[in-house]
Amino acid sequence: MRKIFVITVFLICAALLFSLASPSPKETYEKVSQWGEGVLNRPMDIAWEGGLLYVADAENQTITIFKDNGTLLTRWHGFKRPISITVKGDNAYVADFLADEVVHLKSDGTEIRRWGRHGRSEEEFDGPSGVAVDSVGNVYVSDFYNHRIQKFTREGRFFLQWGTDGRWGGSFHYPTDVVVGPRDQVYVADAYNQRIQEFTSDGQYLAKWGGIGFGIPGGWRGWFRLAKAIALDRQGNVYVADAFNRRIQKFTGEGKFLTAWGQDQIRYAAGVAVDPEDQVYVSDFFNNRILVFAPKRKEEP
Amino acid sequence: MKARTWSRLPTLGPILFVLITVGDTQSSPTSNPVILHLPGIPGPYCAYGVEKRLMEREEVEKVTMSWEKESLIVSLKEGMELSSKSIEEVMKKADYPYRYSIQR
Repeated sequence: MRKIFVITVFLICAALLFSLASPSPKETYEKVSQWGEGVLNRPMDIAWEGGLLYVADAENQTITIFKDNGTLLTRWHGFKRPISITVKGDNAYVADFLADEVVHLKSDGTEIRRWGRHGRSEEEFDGPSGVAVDSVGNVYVSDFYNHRIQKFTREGRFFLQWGTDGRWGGSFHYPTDVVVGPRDQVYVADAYNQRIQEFTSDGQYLAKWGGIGFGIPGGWRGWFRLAKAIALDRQGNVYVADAFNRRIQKFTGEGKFLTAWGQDQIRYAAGVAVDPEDQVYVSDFFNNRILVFAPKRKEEP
Repeated sequence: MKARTWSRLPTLGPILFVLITVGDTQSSPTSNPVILHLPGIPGPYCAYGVEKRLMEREEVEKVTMSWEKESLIVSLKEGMELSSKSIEEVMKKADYPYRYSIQR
């Protein structure tokens, strides 16, 4: 028991020293606008597509859609507790945490189909928490209480699943989001393990990052206090909404820390999205607003 | 002797009241709605997890979040009851790790 304690303390100290020794990031972000107060009611996940921002507006029970300058456009209804959305071209997918369903819509809001019901078997969910689409239209869903990822065809037919409850690489502890990278690699916000994990599109484990693992949270660079949501930019960089650290952290696609920001402005980073201009949108759950950040290069000395 | 017993009543009164109230909370879940206090509730997954598990109960009609009061207001179906033991099961199934209290 004492050995384990000593090893744990050593690992934490080593990680802290490593974290402090890493050079200060040259790249940083500044807030350029904010909006949504008075309209949103507990915004969770967000998605940017074609100049529009789609917000999983959890307690309005809607998907609330804005132009990316903050002008309210419309709302989609028909959800119980929508907490995640992804939009790709003309297709939108919503994860309804309370209904245990994934809803497939056209980008004009017309419902195409919905699938899922409560349970632990294939095509069943116990709290669908995140949804993503790959290059051929397959759909990936993080299944919160079942600690797994399920993969479906674009028609919602079960394809495969992976993951069980656990602390080691390849297992999950309450995953909250999933995104698909440019090579169809799958990134999972393994929230309560305080890490991001990377897999192939058929669920083969590739990598993980975030602190020392085993669900130990931290506020240092590269550590998380609830890695809640993920987004990617065109270069394949990974942005993580680090909820209780009230910040966004940016990594390369391989998990190398690049920068972090937002602690003065964000109360709870629930969702993150990136547009083609590399502007970063953050849903601030407890402040009922969207914050927009733009890259700002520090001047070299 | 009689006078001494009466003089102790102000002390015994609150104790008796607490004992009766505790007994009532444990065994007679008749109020509607039931208010579930979650002091210091940290984030949405805790709240939505508990909400989800409550909505799986046949007794529950509706759950309303009050973030400001750190509470869930649980409306029951007519004639239904939700015992403290059932709520305990709900919290366990939701994997809610923090303390909570029930107001009826």
